[in-house]
Amino acid sequence: MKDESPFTLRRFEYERRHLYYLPNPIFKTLEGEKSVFLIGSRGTGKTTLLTALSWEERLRNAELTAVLSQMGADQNCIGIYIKMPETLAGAFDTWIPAFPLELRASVFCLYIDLIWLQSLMEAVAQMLVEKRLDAPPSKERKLTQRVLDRYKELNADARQTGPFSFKRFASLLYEKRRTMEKWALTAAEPEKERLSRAFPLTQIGSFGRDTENELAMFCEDCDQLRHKWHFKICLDESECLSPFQQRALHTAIRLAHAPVSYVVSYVSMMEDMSNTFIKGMSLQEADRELIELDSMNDRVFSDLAEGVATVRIRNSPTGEAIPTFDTRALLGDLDINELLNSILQISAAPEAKAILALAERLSKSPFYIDTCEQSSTLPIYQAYIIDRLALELPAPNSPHWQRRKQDSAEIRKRMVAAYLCLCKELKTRPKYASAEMLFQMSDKCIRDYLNQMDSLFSEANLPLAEFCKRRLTTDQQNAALREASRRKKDSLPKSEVGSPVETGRLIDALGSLTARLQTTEVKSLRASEKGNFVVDTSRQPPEQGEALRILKEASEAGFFKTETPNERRVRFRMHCSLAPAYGFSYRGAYYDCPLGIREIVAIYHEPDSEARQQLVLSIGDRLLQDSPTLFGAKHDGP
Amino acid sequence: VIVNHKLNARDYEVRAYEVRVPFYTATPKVPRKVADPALLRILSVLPDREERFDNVRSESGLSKGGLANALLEGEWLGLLAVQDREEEPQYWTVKKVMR
Repeated sequence: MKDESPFTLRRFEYERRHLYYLPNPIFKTLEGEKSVFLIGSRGTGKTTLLTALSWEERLRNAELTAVLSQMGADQNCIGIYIKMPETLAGAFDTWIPAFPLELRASVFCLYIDLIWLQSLMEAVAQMLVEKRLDAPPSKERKLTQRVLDRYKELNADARQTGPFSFKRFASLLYEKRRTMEKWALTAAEPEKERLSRAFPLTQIGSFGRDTENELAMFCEDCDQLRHKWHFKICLDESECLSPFQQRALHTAIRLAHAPVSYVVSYVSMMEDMSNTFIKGMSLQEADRELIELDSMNDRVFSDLAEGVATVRIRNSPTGEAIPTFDTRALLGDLDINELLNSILQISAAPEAKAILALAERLSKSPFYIDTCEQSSTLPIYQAYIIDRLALELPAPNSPHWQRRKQDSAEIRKRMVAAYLCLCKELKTRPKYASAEMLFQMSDKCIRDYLNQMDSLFSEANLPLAEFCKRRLTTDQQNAALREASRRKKDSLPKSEVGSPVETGRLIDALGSLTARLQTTEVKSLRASEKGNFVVDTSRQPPEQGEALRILKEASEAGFFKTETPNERRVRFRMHCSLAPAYGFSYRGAYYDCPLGIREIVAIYHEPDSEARQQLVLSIGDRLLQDSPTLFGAKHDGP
Repeated sequence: VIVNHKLNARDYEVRAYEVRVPFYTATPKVPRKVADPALLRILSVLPDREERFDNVRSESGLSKGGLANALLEGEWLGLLAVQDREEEPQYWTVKKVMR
């Protein structure tokens, strides 16, 4: 009987018990004493990292506590997790519009302070109950009284009577927040004096800073080991905040100091990540760390992905005891010539036989013997490139022999282009298989890695224990990875993009365009893997705003991969997970192709699919002209 | 228990304030005679200072529910004061009432 897939995809929020694998260096930075911006497109694991810091999650999830203690995580850090879209931050964006910006920023930051301070008070109350901290109840009340003496506005209407334990003080803060939310939601227009009588308004974040200082001292005093304590405010999905609110938040981060710091997660780099509301003061590198999950190196990503897979397998109902899940053992290494060989051997096309014969001849040439790694498979892609570009192979002792290693490297660079072009010539679809392809097609996204693993598990149709020991065949891998890519493509309507119809048209068109640019024989061989679209944004035509929004949302949802844009250009490519669905390179794209805003707009505004296809063909024709050359003019192909 | 309702003229919200009037007898011996035996056990282990619920629990050996009920009875009989009663019992603090 087949086991339940341990790789099934669910959003964090829908999981009853979340499993944690925490990459050590990233997690250590997050729990450190400096504030952090955590940037990553959807599915890169931001929520997992942030909730691992949360004191409530630690309390609920014994497994997380075990993982944290195993990795030597800081036991004196209290993390408070806040999912920003679940707050009523949106109501504050338009509230009291006539008030000065600084005052509005102060009000908004007080709102955030009230949320996290309530949680922090509850955390410390919980630790007193659990005896992690030891203090008489009177000590709690003295602290809360000091805060109330300083900020009389908190209980100005004496709705609750003291003395206040931490738990009751948390309720008081909650009441205050609810009042603030009601005012903001109903767009009440209080006079400034009334606002300042009702709420402790001072410098941005000052109420939070004062109170957490008191709490940190309390924790240290009541900790038998006299440890220093610090607090981490984790704000998830902060891209939902308006630019004004983000600026207010960045001001609070700039003013924050030990023992409190922030982790703010964004789905992509925001336009303004440094300005504050304080004149002459900006948020600098010294004030915060920056972790970009989309650009972690390949090794870190594969360790993270396999760590996540291992934890899921070990915690599956069958509880497989594996040391570490090994993707390479399951899928094997990438060998393009082996993939080509499996395609050519069964092809009836005369070109297939001809290429095999060329490869046979090349394998015996001095150039190949001297420069290429010896392999049991024939040098098929090399023979194809040399033939199609009419390259003249240097003979030993000829003047060009000196350059043979560089020439060989140039050929190797075009390996994937040759693979795709040859498949196109033979009218067959390229096969997608191997661990390297799977990692590349994950494009640094854990959710895509799991989606592909889930599809492989389903295709293998084996009990989990067997699955972990087997090597899947190329055809099994190919079928599974195609299915995963199709699933991803079909997930667009369920994604969080604002214009799914237009976005779908653009993804389809650019997917086909990328495949065409990469598989148009000689032109594609000269400039390997075109399809890095560069959009000039300096001219700012009227339709640019909408086009850039569609691109941004599709990138955040994992359909495109966009570099951090600047004022002059946006550079993006298709997400690698969509490669099998459209037949482009598993590596995505490397070479730049200029694409106009008007071309993008024309694509997504065109409702007729044939007309859209025609548009893609003409853009493709334009981009296929003027390709750079291989080996310089002398060795250029026809 | 008297629940006092007040209307806030500013936001028209009605708020409830609880006033608890403990049972009063001429001599403290009466409540001790009618009290649950568990309450007597609690009173015997309860120090003069304010104590957290879990500390009382470990001293008395009572279950969480049994202790919570006994403490509320003790409060009603005017033998104890319970703070933060509106929270879960583990957050309560308890103090003997000197008579």
